[in-house]
Amino acid sequence: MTAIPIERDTPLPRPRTRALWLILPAAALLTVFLLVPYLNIILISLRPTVSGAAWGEGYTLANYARVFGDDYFMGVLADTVWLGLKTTLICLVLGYPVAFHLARTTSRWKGLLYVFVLSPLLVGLVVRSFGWLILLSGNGVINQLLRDWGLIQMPIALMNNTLGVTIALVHVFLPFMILPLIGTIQSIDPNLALAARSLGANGRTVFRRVWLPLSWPGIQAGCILVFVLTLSAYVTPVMLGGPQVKTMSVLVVQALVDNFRWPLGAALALVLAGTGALAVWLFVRAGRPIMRGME
Amino acid sequence: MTRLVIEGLVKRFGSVQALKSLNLDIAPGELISLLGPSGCGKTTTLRCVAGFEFADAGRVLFDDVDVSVQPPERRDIGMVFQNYALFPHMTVAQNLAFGLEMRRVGREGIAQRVRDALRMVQLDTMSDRFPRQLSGGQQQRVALARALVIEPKVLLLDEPLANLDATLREEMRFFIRDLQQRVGITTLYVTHDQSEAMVMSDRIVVMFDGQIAQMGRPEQIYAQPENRQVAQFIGRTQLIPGRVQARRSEQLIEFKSALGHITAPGAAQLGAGDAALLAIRPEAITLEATSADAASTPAGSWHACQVERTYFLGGTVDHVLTCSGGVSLIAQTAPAAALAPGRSGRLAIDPQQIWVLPEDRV
Repeated sequence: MTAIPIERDTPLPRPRTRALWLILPAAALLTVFLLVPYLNIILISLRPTVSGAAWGEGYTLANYARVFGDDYFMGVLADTVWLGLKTTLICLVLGYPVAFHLARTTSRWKGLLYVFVLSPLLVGLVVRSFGWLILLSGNGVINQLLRDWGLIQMPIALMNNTLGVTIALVHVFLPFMILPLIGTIQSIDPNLALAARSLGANGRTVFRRVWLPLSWPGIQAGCILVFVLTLSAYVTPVMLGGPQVKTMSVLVVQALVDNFRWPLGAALALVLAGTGALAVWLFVRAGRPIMRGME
Repeated sequence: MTRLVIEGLVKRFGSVQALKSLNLDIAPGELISLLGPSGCGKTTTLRCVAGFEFADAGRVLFDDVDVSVQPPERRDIGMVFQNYALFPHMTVAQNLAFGLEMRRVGREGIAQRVRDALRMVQLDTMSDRFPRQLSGGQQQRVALARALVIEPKVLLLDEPLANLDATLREEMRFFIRDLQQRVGITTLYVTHDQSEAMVMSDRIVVMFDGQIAQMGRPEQIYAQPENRQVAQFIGRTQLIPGRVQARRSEQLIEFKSALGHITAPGAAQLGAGDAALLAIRPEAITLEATSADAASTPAGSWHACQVERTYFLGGTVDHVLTCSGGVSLIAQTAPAAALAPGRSGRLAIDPQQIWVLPEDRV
């Protein structure tokens, strides 16, 4: 038998640190427009709330105690996270087949399909929300059609509730799910699916054991984007949720603008950001076993 | 062991006919190479056997069972891809276990068979590595083990050595051939590398343009090409046009060309008066130096010639020669017997190493 020599893996040389100055402009931008404001918000959230001024003297944790101690705030936080999870899951289920098709198609209509995918982003936020108002309201297009066809007598509530908000959010955030998925799915060698078939796996097993785990980087990126964007969405919940639907960002704006209670608003905003970061961290951790062999 | 039969396979891609009624009968345990240039239909044939493509007409039979309409997962095949197609998110052991899990082998059975298969390809210490932590040659052997561990009816190899460097490729030829014979599995091997096909195959199928150009043992394909395409594709053949003068016997043909009369073995269908080609390989020519005056009077079967250029190839030297009659030939000698460019010499052609084949009209 022939002995085959085992090659030694030689690590690639590290990139030179000389190129470090290339990130300076971006770093400066982030420092001025993200880091400094964030630190400022943290400081404000630690100030006491007083009447007649934006905040009082000294530092306190009272605002956080207020947020965490209040069932109403905690309820809204839970609703917001739940809305984020729902929107993310629906986007994933709807977006994956589209991304899979777009990644693998050789059709000459591919460019046009991309435009369709991106179309929600081509319309301004307010205009898009008004579009949904026209479709979803009590005497809107959908309810009238259903009534004309005799399917319903009374209009069904499609907006001024979480349903309307979810529909509109899924619509606008779908591209943020689809685009990272396309990139990942395109990088998967289609021979892997054939190899799995040759080893006896049927279509469903191939999807579960090959496509899905190898799409994980894209699933992760898309889910994080949609989840974070949903948590911080403001205009859509306000316009389609009406007075009943409260999300954390709505509360933050209320505290800051309507009630002029900056420290409380800052604390609410930071609790939301912290919750989002925690959720993302848990999600990434949970996915780590799937990513083990891939780099 | 399984007998693999391909009957009248036709495959079209749009207006392109990739396979034009292909017939093959592969004996149990035999290794057959499909050899040909890219686009000749060899990979399409393999994919039809695997079930990745479905033929427009014809049948694929494993031991007289028609599998033509079955999906790949029901065919019981082992496939090795050119890029190996190892699952990057699974360890070596998990890659091997995949096919066994699909066959519902128990946990202990899987562990045992994976261990045996890895030992067979000398990778027993690598079972917990991920594919990207392996070298190309190791990945290749994992792919081989993954295909064989399920003990399939037929082993299909699609240019498995094309991505390896030259030294490793030569070692792997013997490795795969040895393994195939030990396991005794019917194997279809697609390659465009003729020396690979020569070394590894029981029989070679040379394909051009969706059809079989010639099928036979490697020695046959090399020494007795049936047509111009095969002669030119295999080895370095020089074709001298001429005419059959007479048939001397079952094998021997008297042939007349610019090199004069020569009696050589040739294709059976040739008869007197037929246009034909004389196939001469560089190693069939013996070259000798002559003094200037002797060159003008060649005797017997010797032809006078002039050395135009030489190429040193390591083990041998190629001489580009111009012969009497204006014929240009390439002759091969050992470096010690090489002639300098510009020298005159004489050459003799070994009648045992040449072959007369029909001039096909293209």
